[in-house]
Formats: sequence, C-alpha cells, structure tokens
Amino acid sequence: MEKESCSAEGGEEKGGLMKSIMLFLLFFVVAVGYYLTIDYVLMVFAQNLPFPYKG
Amino acid sequence: MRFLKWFHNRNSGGRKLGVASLLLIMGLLLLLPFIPVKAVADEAAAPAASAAEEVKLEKAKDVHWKIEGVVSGPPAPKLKYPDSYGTYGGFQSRTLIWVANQQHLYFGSFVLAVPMFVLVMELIGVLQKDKKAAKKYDDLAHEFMKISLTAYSITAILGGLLIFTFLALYPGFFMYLASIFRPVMHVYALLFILESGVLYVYYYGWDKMNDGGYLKWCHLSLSLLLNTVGLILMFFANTWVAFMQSPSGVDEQGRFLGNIWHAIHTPLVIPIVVHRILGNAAFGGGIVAAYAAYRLLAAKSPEEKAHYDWMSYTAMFMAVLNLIPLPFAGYWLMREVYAYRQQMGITLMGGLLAWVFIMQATMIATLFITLNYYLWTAMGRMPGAERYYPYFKYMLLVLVVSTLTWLTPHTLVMTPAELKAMGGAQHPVVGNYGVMSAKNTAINIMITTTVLCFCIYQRSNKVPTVKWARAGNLALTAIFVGAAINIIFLGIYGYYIPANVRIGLSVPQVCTTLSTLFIGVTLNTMMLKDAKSLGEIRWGQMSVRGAYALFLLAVAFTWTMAVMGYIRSSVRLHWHVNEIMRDASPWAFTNPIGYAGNINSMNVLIFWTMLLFVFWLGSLTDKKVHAVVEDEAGEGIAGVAVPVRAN
Repeated sequence: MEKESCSAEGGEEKGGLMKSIMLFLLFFVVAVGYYLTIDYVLMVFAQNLPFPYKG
Repeated sequence: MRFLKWFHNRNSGGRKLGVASLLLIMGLLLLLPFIPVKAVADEAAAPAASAAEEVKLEKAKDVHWKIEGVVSGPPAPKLKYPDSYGTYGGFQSRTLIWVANQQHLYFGSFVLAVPMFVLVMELIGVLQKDKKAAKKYDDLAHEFMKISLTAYSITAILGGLLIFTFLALYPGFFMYLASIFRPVMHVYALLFILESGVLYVYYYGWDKMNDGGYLKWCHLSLSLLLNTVGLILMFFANTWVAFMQSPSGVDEQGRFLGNIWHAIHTPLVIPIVVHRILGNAAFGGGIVAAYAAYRLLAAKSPEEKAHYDWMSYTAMFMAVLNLIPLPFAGYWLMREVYAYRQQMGITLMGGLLAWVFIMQATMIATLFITLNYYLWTAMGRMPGAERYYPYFKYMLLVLVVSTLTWLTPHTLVMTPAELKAMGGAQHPVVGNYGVMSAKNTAINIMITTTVLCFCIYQRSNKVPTVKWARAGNLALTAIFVGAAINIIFLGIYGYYIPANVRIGLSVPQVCTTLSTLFIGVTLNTMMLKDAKSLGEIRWGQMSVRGAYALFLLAVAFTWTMAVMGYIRSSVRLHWHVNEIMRDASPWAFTNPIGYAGNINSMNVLIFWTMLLFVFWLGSLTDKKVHAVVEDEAGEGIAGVAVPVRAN
C-alpha cells in the first residue's frame, strides 16, 4: 500500500517521507483513540465492568 | 373496478391478476402459524377465566420463567430400557438417530441457504442497468436454484426417514416432545407443503415471469416468500432443539403449562437461531462454491471456465460474508449458555467437551487459512496483483501463529509420569496460550487478517486515482495496525484481571475486528472509485489448486457443522430434555472423542457422496450448447457464456 501512495498514479504529487510519517502518526493516534474509546464504552457503559481495572 | 381496469390497460391483465392473486394467497398462508397459537392461547385463557368458578384447576410454576400457568399436560414420562426404546439389531440407536438427524440437517441447511443467495443475486440482476450484467446475475441465480431443487427432494426424504427413526427408536421421547409442540407441529408440516409449492412455482416459472418488469418483481416476491417460509420452518425446528437443551414453558415435572410461546421462547433459542442462520448461509455458500469449482475443473471451453470461475468466487464471497460474523454469534451463544447454566458452559468449554472444542478450533482455523489461500491464488488472475505477493508470506505467518495459539489446549492428556515431570497438568509455557484471552485474540487477529486480504484482493488489479489516495492508504494502514495493537493489548490485559472482568473484554475485541471490516472495506471501496485498471480479471484462469481449496473449504464447513452439532447435543449429558426427562437408554454416556470423530467423518462422507450425486444430476440437465453473448465490441464479457438449461 505504501508503494502506491508514493506513486504519481495516485493522483498526488510525490510527497516527502516526513509528510507521510506525520500523516500516518496522525491517523494512528486517531485510530488508537477510537479503539480505546470503544473499549471504554463497551466495558463501562455496555457491560458495567471496570476499565481500566483497579485492584 | 379501477384496479381491474388498470390491469386491463397494462396489457395481459389477466395473467398479472392471476400472478397477483397467487402471491396474495401464498402470502395469506403465512398467517397459518398464528392460527393454532391463538387457538391455544384462547384454550388456555378460557379455563383461566373459569378458574374462579371451578377452583379445581391445578397451577404450577414455569421451570425457567417462574410464571404460574395452568397445568395442561401430563408430566414427562420416566423412561425405562428396553420398554421405552427401540433397537435395530446390534446397532446403537443413538448413532442411528445421530446419522439420520445430521443428514437431514445438512440438506435442510443447504436448501435453506441457497434461496437466500438466489434472492440477493436475482435482486442484483433486476437492479442492474446493463442488460448483459443483469442476465449474468439472473442466470447465476437460476443455476443456484437448480442445484437446490434436487437437494430439496432429498431433504424431504431424509425428513421422513428421521421421523420414522424417532418413532421406531425413541417413541417415548418423541411422543412427549410432540405433546408439548402439538400446536405447531402440524403447522410445520403445512408450511413445508407451502414451501414446496412456492419453490416449484418459483423455479419453473422463472423463464415465464422473466419479463424484466412487473412479473419479474412478482417472481422476486416469490423468492422473498420462499425465504420467509424457509426461515419460519427452521425456526420451528430450532425451537425443539433449544427446548431439549434449555426447557421452559413446563413445570419441574415437565408438565406443559398451556402457553406455547413460553415453550418456544426458551432461554437459548434466539442465539441458537441466529448462529444457525449464519452457519447455514456460510455452509450453503461453501457448497455452491464447491459445485462451481467442480464444474470449473470439468469445463472444456474457456467461456464455461470463465462462468464457473466467476460463480465459484461469488458463492465463496457469500459464504465469507456469513462466516466472518459466525464466531461472534458462537461466542454470544456460549455466553448465554453460561448465563443459563454455568455448569453447562464449563462442561462445554472447560470440561468434558473442551477437547472437542479444540477440534472445532482446528476446523475453523482451517476455514480461514483456506479462505485466504483461495484469495491469494485467485489473485493470479488479476493483472497487477504481483505487487502484493511479497506480503502473503507474512499474512500466512500471522494466520499460522494464530491457529497454533487457538488450538493450544489448556491442559494436556498425559501419563502420571509425564504429569510429574511437567509439574502439573498445565504446561509452564504452552499452557499460557490455552486460555480464552489468547484464543479470543487469535481468532480476532485471523479475521482481521482475512479482512486485510480481501481489501488487497479488491485493489489488486487497480490503482486508486482519487486525490486523497496517499492519505487513504495511510489511514487504512493506521486502522489495521491500530486494530491489531488493540486486540493484542486486550488479550494481554486479560491475564492481569479477574475472570468476571476478563470475559467482558471479548466484546471490545469483536468490535475492533468489526471496525476494520466496516470502516476498512468502506474506505478501500471509496478509494477504488474511478480507479485506474491494470487489466480485466481473467476469469477462468483460476489455478487448479484454487479450485481444490474451495472443496476443502466446503468439506471443512461440513465437518465443523458435524462437530458443533455433536457438542451442542452432547452437552445435555444423560438428559433427553435437560433436567426434565432423563435418558434411560444404555447410550446415555458421552462418547469418546475418537468415536465421535469417526461418526462425524462418516456423516461428512455420506453427505458428500449424496451431494456429488446431486452435482452430477445438475450437470445432466445442461445442454451441450452455450449461448455466448457478445458485447458491442465483439468480445465476450466475463461469465457471459452460460450453459443453457434444458428444463
């Protein structure tokens, strides 16, 4: 997938590696934030279970 | 009158009126199930109303719902061997009924699942603007139905055989079950007749009603009706099975309390029904894919190969759509089992039947690996897919590691000396992977990998041209990497918290996997809008190994169904009806795993032998003529060479 993203056929100009890394990190943070949110919501609100568990 | 005039003005009004009337009558017949239920309700209400006057009516409490009801039937009989049982020579009656049940279930599942696909295919065909594509889908749906038709007759014969086997070998039990479900059993039979009628009108009226307009929509409505009746039939059969496992609607002595809905709505019926619908659909898709693979291998011309290659892919895709949510439905069912009777859950997953679950895990892992293997080989017909070949070995590695984790047992079967040498039943290292935290993680990672594989398949002959292609690719990568991290994190976290909290982690794990499925596939599909094509799919150029993979997939489905059915039935242990009616036969013990495995394998062999007969029969009805529809440029489009049926 990475290969495609750098190709001119992708409809984008070749961006710098740094820009791609930053963009990836941004998406990664959003994705992890989303997953942690669903973890919390489904444990605490949907099942009434503690998350994170405190002894 | 205006309605009739409208029909007249629309030309061939009489025919349309006839079709509409037929549909209306068939639709009204669907109300049949509610008539006896209402009658029973009235029957139950009437004595209740007069109870104040006559006083003498006996009341008892529902064994599960704890609601009082009027005793409306005799207690469950206390069976004795040999008086209450029949035998055929030296054969184990249990094994005979097992085989009869399993065969009926296989064919029943198949004929229930295929019309679901047919409805979808026919609808896609009707909605297509391109006439050639519409015809392609319509022919595919028709061919699916043709396979189902022969199987339908076999299902009916096996149903009869099953009833006779019950009456001959387990008369006491069967009479009790019939006494509880008396109000719905004849409805089941009537619905079966309705199903047959709709099926034959639907199949044999295909060409006559294929006018591309009003009649075609009527034909589609018949398909909907067929599926509705099929689902109601399956629901009824499932209620009897669920009643045996988790009875309700009766008191502690097994006396019916007059409310048929309580006997139907048992604690486990809904998860069983959902699990079975998904399982049947995945199984049916697998069988049709195997049929198409069989025809692909036997095909002589490139056109025929192209058609069956496309057909096998479509059927496989339908099977996968249902396979992916199946483990989640299974976990839901298990959760409900634990909620119903904790001991039953422990017997299943941590006790007597835990090793059978290891067999099941092996089979489901086989399904996922085979599925991925098929997609990898299928990419051989996609120009441009070579770009992704280097990634396959890593995906295979993930799948194999997940499989090994999933099938690691919690405790091992050992000799006393081995036990002593190891310091306990649990291996100090491997034993850590034998718990649910590891197993849930493994299956979720396997499903996520399969979703990733499908995303790659989707784009293997395309290059995205949308402006946000790079950002889209990075977002997709983040979604999958983030999901993998979250699934593994929750798995590891489960080792550090108590069991009652740990069990809840499976829900966010499942939702993480489903997020990759819905968000990942949607994003991928959006990126592929107006994508640059690297070449058309070379339908028909599927490798022989890929076709055989579809056979493996279908056989694995069949074997998994056998083993899961065995587990569900065995968990009742020495009860015909759990905690209500005891099994007094000499076979009221749990089979050794080897014996169960052999009977399951025999069932699979019997089913496939009969199925090959159905396939062969299906191939006989094709003329040796092929209609090749040419497009305007004079080139055949993929899959347009469709064998012409001789019905």
